[in-house]
Amino acid sequence: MTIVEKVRTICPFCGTGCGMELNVFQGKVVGVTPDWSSPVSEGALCVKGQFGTGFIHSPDRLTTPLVRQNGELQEASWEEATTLIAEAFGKIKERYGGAGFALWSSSRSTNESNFMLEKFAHAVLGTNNVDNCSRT
Amino acid sequence: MFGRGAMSNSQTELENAPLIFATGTNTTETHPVLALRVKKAVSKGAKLMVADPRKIGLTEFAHRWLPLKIGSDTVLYNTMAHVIIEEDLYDHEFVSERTEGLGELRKFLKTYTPEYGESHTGLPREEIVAAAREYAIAERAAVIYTLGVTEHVHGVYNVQALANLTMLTGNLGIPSAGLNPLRGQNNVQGAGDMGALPAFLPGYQRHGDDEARARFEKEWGVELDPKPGLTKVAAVEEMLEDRIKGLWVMGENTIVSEANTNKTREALGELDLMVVQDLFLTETAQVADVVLPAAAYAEVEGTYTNTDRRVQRLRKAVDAPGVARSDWEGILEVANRMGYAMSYSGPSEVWDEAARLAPIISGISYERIEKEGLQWPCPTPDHPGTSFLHEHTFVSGRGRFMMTPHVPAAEPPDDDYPFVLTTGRRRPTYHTGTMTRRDERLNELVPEEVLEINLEDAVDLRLEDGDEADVSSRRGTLRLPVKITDMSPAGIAFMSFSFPDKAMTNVLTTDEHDPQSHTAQFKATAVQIRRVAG
Amino acid sequence: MTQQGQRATINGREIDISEGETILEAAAMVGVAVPILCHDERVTPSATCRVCVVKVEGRRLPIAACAQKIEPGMTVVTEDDDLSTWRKGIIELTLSELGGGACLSCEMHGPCDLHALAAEVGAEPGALRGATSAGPKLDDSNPFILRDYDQCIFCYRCTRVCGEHEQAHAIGPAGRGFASIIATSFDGGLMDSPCTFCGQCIQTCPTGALLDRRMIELLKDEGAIR
Repeated sequence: MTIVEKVRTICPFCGTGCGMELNVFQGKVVGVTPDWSSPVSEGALCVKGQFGTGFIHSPDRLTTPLVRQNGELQEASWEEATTLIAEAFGKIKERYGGAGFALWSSSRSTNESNFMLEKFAHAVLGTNNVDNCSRT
Repeated sequence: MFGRGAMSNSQTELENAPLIFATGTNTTETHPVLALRVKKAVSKGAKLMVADPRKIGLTEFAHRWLPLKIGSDTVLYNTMAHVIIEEDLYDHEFVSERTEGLGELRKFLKTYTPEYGESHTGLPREEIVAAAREYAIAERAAVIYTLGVTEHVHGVYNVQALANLTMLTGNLGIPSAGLNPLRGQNNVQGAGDMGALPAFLPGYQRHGDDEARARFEKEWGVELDPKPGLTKVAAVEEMLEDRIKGLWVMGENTIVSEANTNKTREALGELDLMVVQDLFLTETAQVADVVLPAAAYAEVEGTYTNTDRRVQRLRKAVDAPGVARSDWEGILEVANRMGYAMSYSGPSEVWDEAARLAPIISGISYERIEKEGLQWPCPTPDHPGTSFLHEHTFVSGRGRFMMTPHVPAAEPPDDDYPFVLTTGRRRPTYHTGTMTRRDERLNELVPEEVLEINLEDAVDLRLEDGDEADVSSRRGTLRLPVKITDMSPAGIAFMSFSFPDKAMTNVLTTDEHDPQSHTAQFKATAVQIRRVAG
Repeated sequence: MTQQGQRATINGREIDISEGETILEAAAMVGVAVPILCHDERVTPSATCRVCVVKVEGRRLPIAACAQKIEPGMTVVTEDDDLSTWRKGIIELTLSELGGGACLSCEMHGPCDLHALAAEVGAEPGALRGATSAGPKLDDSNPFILRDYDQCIFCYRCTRVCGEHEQAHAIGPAGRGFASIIATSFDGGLMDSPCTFCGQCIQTCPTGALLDRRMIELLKDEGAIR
């Protein structure tokens, strides 16, 4: 009987790509153990990978979409937020074409999300102006 | 040049390299676990050559430290190449079979004599010559570098000059050698692979490549523009000119990470609609019109591609808070609302589409990487993946020697701004601090931003450890405590940019950038430092 | 590198051996697992726990397989009744030196290396009684690493990983015999040492002597551990 459940995954910090197991207790990440089978890290982690999980359950996490109304960001539903985006982007596209957009993708997010943003830019907005933070 | 925006070799190979040339990389701080390989190589007898203006952690393990003047990198590499050619230490077989342009390079490098090298780098000529010889005669030598090489107005020339060295010495296409940019962020490699770069479709295929573009047009059912898109730097200018009106920012804190914060802020203020997906209400999200709550790495399924092109599986451990969603699911919903119907059963179907379209990853599936990741190129389902690139040929055929002139730094120090501020990382904090600043324990290790300066400068400025100082550049002023360190040489100050709530470091930095890569000169900003009276 | 004609015998089976390989490594190559406790393959063997003892023909005393290089013509036995008895005795001695208290590592993660091995060799906790080697608890206020000397078996995995792998050299043995403890150079806290808080000492620890302090606190708050 073990208290924590272990989920094998990859460290989210630097590009080394260390293997780690998130230690989960009652739906919360409480700690980290290394993934000894990782050919990259072979059981090693650094201070961020081993201990830097505090942000996951931070009370500051965004839990709902926010939409600016009268100058302030207000809570909104996904439907409200995405409808607003679709309408506003539709207008920009009409007036400026694809050249009116830029999309800045994330070196922190998954391949799948990066691919989706790339597809969205090209196929939906009609722009090739997609970049990521590799220059910072 | 010869290749791709990726490490030519793998980190696991480093520990068997007889010589490692680490330049512009503070590896023990930025890639602590990868640095274990470097330390291990040294324990096994490897020579470690470090070129860095600061006395970084790696210098403790180095047999030769080259503390060159900031911004003189190209001259160092060119001088080394000059010595290697003039002393006939280059790999004749490799150069004749795999490269072109040696004659032109030899002519170009004529002026990069050791004397010239010394006058620009501040390194004794004997040191440069010795470094060149060691690098050339090593059985195999691996170059590792990070942003210390690229974050200059001559960043591309730096990389090309290093590429010249690797080609001259035949250090490509073999294990434990090569030219290895250690990628900084967990998935910066993958973001590029997936086409999140203006010059490329997924898999480093050019928009102008008719065959490739046609494949995407067929799959996506739309016509694509054959011209490359705009980089961030160029897009910021377009915003200021009122030509870009809509911006989607997925999980990056642009206001904090880009050079010249005030300019970025002004540009973003011109937009009609700015969307930010993030875990937190970052400095960038605060100025958005719509903020979409994102799921964190522990809350999603997917893949990351690490610095050695290894695609690895990310697994969901806990639920995202509230109604936060994976980035891709948020994008999907907007696409559907805009009339482009898409549906996916899950991230593996998204991956499969990318793999279908990008030959370098076509052989990789979730099933194959369940136990262990695979390194691209991996074009077919039975391909074992690739540990090191360029084994028999370069993507571009022959590797071309590039002429890499010395370009002086933009905004050199002068009487008004006599110090050089260089920015970089500290191990316990990460990038703009969005994640690490929200970890109480990491905060105990590095509680706040400090201006690291040399003792000599501290004495001149009448500053003691912990004293407040005003640091100013042509763009702004910050007030923060100083930390006296022997890591920075006299005349050079150091800051990270992980504490935006206290010190927006990039208020100071210049957005002068490399004309080819559009990477800003984060490593050298002229500043003035003044003691705060009282 | 396998060399032509370099052969040895393990458990009656003739095998190819490589230059510089230990008995432990040679055995593993042919699927023979020798029990280990103080060993971490990334660092120099210390051969302190003696759990990996094997018999080598022509040698009077058992030999630690983790540290002994295998030689051509060597005949090795890794399993027999004597070895089982010795290993059981070694583990019972090791257990007898632990101070009181539960093994939190076992509670959180399932059996730690020590307790898993104890179960494997049939060692009974409390079979032997004697002095315990637990020293005073160092008051170390770092927020990351909790060191419980009651669970420390002085295998030196943490100090070797710290010194040879991370190369931080933050911790080492201090004092002698039963009074010895693992400590920083001047007995100060880890926050004032060269420790990088990579956590590799926790990761390699084969018992519950090194733990993530916050994880313990979180689980105690939830009543999951005492």
